[in-house]
Amino acid sequence: MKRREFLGGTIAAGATMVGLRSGMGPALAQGRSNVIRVLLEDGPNTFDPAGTGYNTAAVSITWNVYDRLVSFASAPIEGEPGAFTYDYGTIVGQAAESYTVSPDGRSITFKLRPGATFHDGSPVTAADVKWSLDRCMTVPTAKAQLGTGSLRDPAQFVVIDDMTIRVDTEKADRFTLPNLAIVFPAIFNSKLAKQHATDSDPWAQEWLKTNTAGGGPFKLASYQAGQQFVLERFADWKNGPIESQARILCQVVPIASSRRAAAQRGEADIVRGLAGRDIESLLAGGKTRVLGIPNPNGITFIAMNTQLAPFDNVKVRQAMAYATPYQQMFESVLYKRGRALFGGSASTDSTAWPTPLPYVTDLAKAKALLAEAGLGDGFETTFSIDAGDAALSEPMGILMQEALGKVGVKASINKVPAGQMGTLQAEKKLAMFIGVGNAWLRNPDYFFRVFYNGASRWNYGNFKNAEMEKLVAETRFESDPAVYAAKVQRMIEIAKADVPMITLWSPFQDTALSKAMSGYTYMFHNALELRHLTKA
Amino acid sequence: MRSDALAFIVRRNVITTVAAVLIVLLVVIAIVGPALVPYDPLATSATEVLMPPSARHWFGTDGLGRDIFSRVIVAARLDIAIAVSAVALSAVVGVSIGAVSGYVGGALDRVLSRVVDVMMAFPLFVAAMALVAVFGNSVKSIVLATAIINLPFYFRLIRAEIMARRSIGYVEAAVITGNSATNVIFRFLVPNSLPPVIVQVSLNLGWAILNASGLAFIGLGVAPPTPEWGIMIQEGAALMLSGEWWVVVFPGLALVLSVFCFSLLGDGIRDVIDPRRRS
Amino acid sequence: MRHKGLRILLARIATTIPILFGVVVVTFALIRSLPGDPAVYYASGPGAGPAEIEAVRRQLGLDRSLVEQFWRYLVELGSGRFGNSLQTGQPVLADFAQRLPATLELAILAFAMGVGTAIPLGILAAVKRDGWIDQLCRVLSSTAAAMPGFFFGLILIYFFYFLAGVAPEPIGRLPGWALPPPVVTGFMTIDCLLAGDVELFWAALGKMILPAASMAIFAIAPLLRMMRGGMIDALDSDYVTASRAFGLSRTRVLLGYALPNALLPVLATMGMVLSTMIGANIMIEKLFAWPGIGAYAINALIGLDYAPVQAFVLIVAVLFVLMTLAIDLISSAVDPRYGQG
Repeated sequence: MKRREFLGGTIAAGATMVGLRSGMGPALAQGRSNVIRVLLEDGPNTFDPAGTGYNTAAVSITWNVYDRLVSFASAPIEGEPGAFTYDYGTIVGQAAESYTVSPDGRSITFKLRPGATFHDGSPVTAADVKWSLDRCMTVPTAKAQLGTGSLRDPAQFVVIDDMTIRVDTEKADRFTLPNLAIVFPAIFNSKLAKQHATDSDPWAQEWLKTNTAGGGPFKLASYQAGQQFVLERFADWKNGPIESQARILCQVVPIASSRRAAAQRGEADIVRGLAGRDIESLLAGGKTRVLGIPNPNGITFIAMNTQLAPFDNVKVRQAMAYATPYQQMFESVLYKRGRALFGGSASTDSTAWPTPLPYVTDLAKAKALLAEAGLGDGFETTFSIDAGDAALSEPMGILMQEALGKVGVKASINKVPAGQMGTLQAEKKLAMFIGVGNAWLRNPDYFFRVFYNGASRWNYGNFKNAEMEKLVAETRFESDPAVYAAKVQRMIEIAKADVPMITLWSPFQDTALSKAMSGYTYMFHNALELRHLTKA
Repeated sequence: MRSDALAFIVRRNVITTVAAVLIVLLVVIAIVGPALVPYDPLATSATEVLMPPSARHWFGTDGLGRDIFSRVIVAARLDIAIAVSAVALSAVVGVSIGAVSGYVGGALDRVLSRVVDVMMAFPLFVAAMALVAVFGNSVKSIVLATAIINLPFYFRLIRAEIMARRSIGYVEAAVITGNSATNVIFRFLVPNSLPPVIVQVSLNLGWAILNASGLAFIGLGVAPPTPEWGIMIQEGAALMLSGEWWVVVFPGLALVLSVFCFSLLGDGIRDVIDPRRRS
Repeated sequence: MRHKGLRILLARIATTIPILFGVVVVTFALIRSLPGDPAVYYASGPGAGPAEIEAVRRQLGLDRSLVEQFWRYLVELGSGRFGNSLQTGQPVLADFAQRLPATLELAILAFAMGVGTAIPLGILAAVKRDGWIDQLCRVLSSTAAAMPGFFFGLILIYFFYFLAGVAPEPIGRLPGWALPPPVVTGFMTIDCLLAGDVELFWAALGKMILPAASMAIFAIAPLLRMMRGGMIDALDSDYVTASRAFGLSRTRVLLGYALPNALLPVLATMGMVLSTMIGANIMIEKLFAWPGIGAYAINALIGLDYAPVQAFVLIVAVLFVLMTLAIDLISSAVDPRYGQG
């Protein structure tokens, strides 16, 4: 008697589930044409575009809720109809209707767009721009970045009149304008923000972390931390067209396979943060469109600490570069979703960077180089991988460990929690690790300045090379293209010969799109650029 | 007489006997398994990625082309070793501290009991996670974390036993005849209080395996590429949604089977030691 | 009499304060001994040199001495503030207010499933002691005890989502396109009903079935065993034998006399099960992308986000202490002998 009741209960529960599945249809589907559903790996951690410790998801909000003075133009991607990528070479006005660069290149004057307003309807003025740029000079993250474009002092931002602002730099700097087009120098509604400033917090950093005060193409309609947020178009936006009427529903789904499954069933419009196998099975499924956008500025690499024995010996580093199982990693881990950066030419005749390094898997050569370095019997080392990126880095680490074993190098894998990885990198405590570098600004000298030079965390190889330091300094303001090209080529030669980082590939920025989507635009920050999106 | 009793127990407890046999088998696998497996559990193969179970690979292969059967077998040693050493550590330390605390009483007992109360109030799994994160991803820290969060149970168990027995005749006799406190605790009291501890240990072994696999599932397991059931499940979790079930299912079944055996054995031991409490 | 009860209650509450203080101290110390520096982690940007890291550290208040940090934390706690999460940018309390209902809702359903399965089976096993049903229950409870929830969840996902396609996608609390109803209670099912959206209510309930079943599995063994044990003791007791002798019907004896007495030890186990479901369902929340407090806490722990971890441990500890207290009180109300031995 009891048992029958129990079984009855189970069957009822099962039936309910079936019912749900079929009953989910019409009412919920009604919303589909005017909602674009985006699945993200993680949620935003701040609404402050210049904020401390912002993550990529935060940029998906700040990029769309705020305007900047200028922005990068977009250009169609060849072979991918309806998809666009940013054009680093063309900077167009956004909040600024136009800008003029003075003949000596030391000041740029911006004319604001008449009639443009913030979301609350108040007009966008030069005072707002000045307040926002001044603010960047006090937030550490923004300040450090804008410094790379010679922007260091509030005095450099001069209000001419209500609708005109001038930015002065000490020297003509080709990085000033791009730096004004990136995420940080967003324009705040300063009157609104100032209402929430306090004596201890004059720039309203606390308030702007959890509130928005922008005038961008989208408004933040709702937000549930770590779960989802909804963006709604700002109908009065004056700075360009917003292609779609749809609301953007962004949901956080931490597990890649769940995101993939949703894409496969056509239950999401845009799915981010997919890699390798997931992409391959989506491609095989054929129901979804996968955009593999090459990101020339991203590099996946194996870094070696050039100040730490035995990697202080260039022969050992080269031996590692010959021992690396490139092709196997590229095929069975990355599923070829990227541009290979190995097996390139030994000679350097262009400034194109990143370029394939001249290494291929050649165990005999690796052994010979190790013998030359006096390490014919191999050595023991630790190979660190980021636990936060384990889906890719763990199989890579295992393949690397196996390959190193073949040349007598005994590597133990150290899986480091994401939070600790940064600390260990900054303190230069890792011997050898897998990392991913991504430069926002595309010039090759910028890349070498950030990744092959200096004391910052991003100098992953802890590379200290007098010639590189000199070249990095000399190219900073070099305006003669021929001289610049020669020096960049020399930097590339050093990167090839000294290999502080074994470059593996530039991964594609893979995004799965439902067939209804078009107008997808890839931006340098890899977060969402929404205003060109349309849904059929 | 003794063997008669054993035969009676075996007859009465078929399931327990089966569990005991399976555990012996498991231990044998843990000891000799690594020498018998058909493939190197660490060897990857670019050409045999994610092969379903077949005559060649009984349990199929994983995302790197490694033989899952070999990995499941080899992992038995590590998983059992983690459970046994963690439980042994917490039992020995917990029993020692708890016995002393219960016997001495007074301020020491009050302080120690409060410390244990604090440990009990902690969300256990979060404590284990934090400990592994602090000590680093290694077998040692997983054992240590598992042992620490288990400690309070042994402490409380033995303390209650000791307090109940402190004033029993033979103990008082031992004190009067001039035995040192250490002697009284560890030669008279503890041995007599051991049965419930033994039951607890046998029940705990399975739990320790589960705990370690849970940590691995969260990403706080032993370092790759070491085969371990929890990590193998975690590695395969993503594949479950695309239909490659074998990567998860076989290590999962190995895990369930061994925990199952330990828990049945624990029940059986409890029946034998304390038949009234059989459950 | 009532005054005495109140005094005992207050005294019991007073004993929990040092325990909670201990939890606060240990959590504070433990999380700060995590290797890794939040300042470095949160100082991103290409120019993140030592100067920027230092600035971030100052902003986070991590440049102060540990004693000072602890004092400031206590003062904040005293005024009911738990700090801000670095990962969500929100006040920790706001995050919890949003996520705790999600965890509770799931835990309650899982609890109901566990109790609904285990209690009848436990009674049945006791009544048919040593019969095949009893043996079957024993195998069932041992299997359930041996089954890690996340493994069970994966199996369920494989069968019901991948193969059969009857379960909704194992992501979150609502189907993909659905916009959540206005938040009133935070319990999705209740909010759906309050908003008058019955269809969405069923959808939200459907989303909960697989994760709740994965959680319920762990509750089966302890509940079933306690229920069976308690029932056997009750059935063997003199008063049951006596009532039988008086010729009362079997069902009446079972449900009217034996069951209430057998439920007392089960009650304590239920409390344990429920508090474990609330505090330790991290793996299930992670597997089903359930936006509860467990997943929140682990992300914070891994991301060196101190405030949420501290708050999580404290909140779960408070829940645990309250639960223990409640069980004690209920037990002594039901059975006056309780707690005197």
